[in-house]
Amino acid sequence: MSCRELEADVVDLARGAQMSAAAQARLAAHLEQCAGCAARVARERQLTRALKAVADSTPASSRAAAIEEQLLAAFAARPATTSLRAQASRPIFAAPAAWRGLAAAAVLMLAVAVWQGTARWRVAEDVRPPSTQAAASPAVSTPAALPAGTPAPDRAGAPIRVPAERTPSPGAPRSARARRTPGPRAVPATDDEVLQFVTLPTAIGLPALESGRIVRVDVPTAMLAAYGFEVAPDSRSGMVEADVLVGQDGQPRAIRFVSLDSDSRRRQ
Amino acid sequence: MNTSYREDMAAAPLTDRVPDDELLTRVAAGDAPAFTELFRRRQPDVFRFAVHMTGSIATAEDVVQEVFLIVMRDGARYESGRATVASWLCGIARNCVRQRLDRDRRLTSVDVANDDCEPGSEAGGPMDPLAGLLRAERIDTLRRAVQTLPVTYREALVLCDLQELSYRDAAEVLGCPVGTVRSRLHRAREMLTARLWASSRSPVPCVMTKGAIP
Repeated sequence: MSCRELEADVVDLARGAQMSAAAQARLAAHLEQCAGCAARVARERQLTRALKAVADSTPASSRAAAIEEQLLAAFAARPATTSLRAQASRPIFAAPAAWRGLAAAAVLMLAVAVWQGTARWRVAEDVRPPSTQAAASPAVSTPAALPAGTPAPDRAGAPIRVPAERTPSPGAPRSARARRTPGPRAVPATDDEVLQFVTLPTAIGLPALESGRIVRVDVPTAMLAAYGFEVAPDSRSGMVEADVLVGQDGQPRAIRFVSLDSDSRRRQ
Repeated sequence: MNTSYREDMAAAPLTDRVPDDELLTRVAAGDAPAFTELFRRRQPDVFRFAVHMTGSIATAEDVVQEVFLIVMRDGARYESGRATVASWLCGIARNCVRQRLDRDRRLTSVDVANDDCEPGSEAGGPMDPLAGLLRAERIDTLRRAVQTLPVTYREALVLCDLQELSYRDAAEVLGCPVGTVRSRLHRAREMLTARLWASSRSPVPCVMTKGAIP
């Protein structure tokens, strides 16, 4: 056995890999002759023992029981609700208005591309289950992992509602509030409307949402009309803020528009 | 609290003979006791992986929660012939951890220790930082040093040396060939040793993270 051969296998040796009797004999003979390799093997074995000690001393979760209880509550609630994927599989736009949703989705996709090039989007918010504060709450929920319609905490702990059937249509226009617009704003919305996520048509057929981020993006106000929102004619040159739920594959799944009220509440 | 949880586990109906993949099938069918059993059986593995990767117990608990939420939703997507359930769960945990690490990257103190420090040739000598690694404070030093490794290498080391997965199972979790796992592990251990040496020579500890394991 040469030093080079030993080096290739030294980690396996130190981790107790099985060796044939012949290989063991060659190893022993080499280590007797080569102090450097003997020291190398000794160091790796020390490291293996130390890492074993690290593994053995790893603390257990003190919240396992609480987490289990919360998960079981979520498990029990599971059949009664629907997932984002289930929403996406339903036709959410009436046929005459389908082009509007598709056009808006294209705009949003374009916005994503623009942002990736210009870093225009702001700090992302991971979609995840409640963290430590969840111990006080029996419900566990997240837009990424739980069915739609279930409250999920945003960064400030306020619920993010992911509606099952909140779909804009030309017959029932939504409102959005323009920001960064010197002129008159679009029709103000109530918080309930503003904080609703709406599934994007482009989410249809995408893989199930495993996890995601909520990313703030500016959308041209003029494009909101194409999405079924009511926009004042003199506000069409402005921008409106929106949160886009981006899945694990980077594809946008849902959007909610942000009002000044909800934004200020988040900062509190 | 750990003790009471374990007592609760002992009092629960025993389903130890049911294989993990069968439990997962039942979970997909809406069987709550199967979910409970799977959680109790595999939660420690997921938690340990996450805590070694993140250095934070609170974050690791979040990851556990996230992983099992995904299990309850996507349990049917598990392919039994491809990987063990434990590996599959570690793979999910890995994705969750990576997302969190990506998000928190700006806040993480990155070790700037010189990875090219030579470990020297006198194993067990008076200056050898490995010599006393079995002492408690040295174990903490080593734990922190693990968390300063680049994620790619940390994953290999945590899975193989701390979780004691086989190369094959680790390769399934990481989605790479077995040879890649071996080479990453080899490199991870080299880097770890170098950082410990750098730390032992520096008046300021080279291994610093924001992780907090008491």
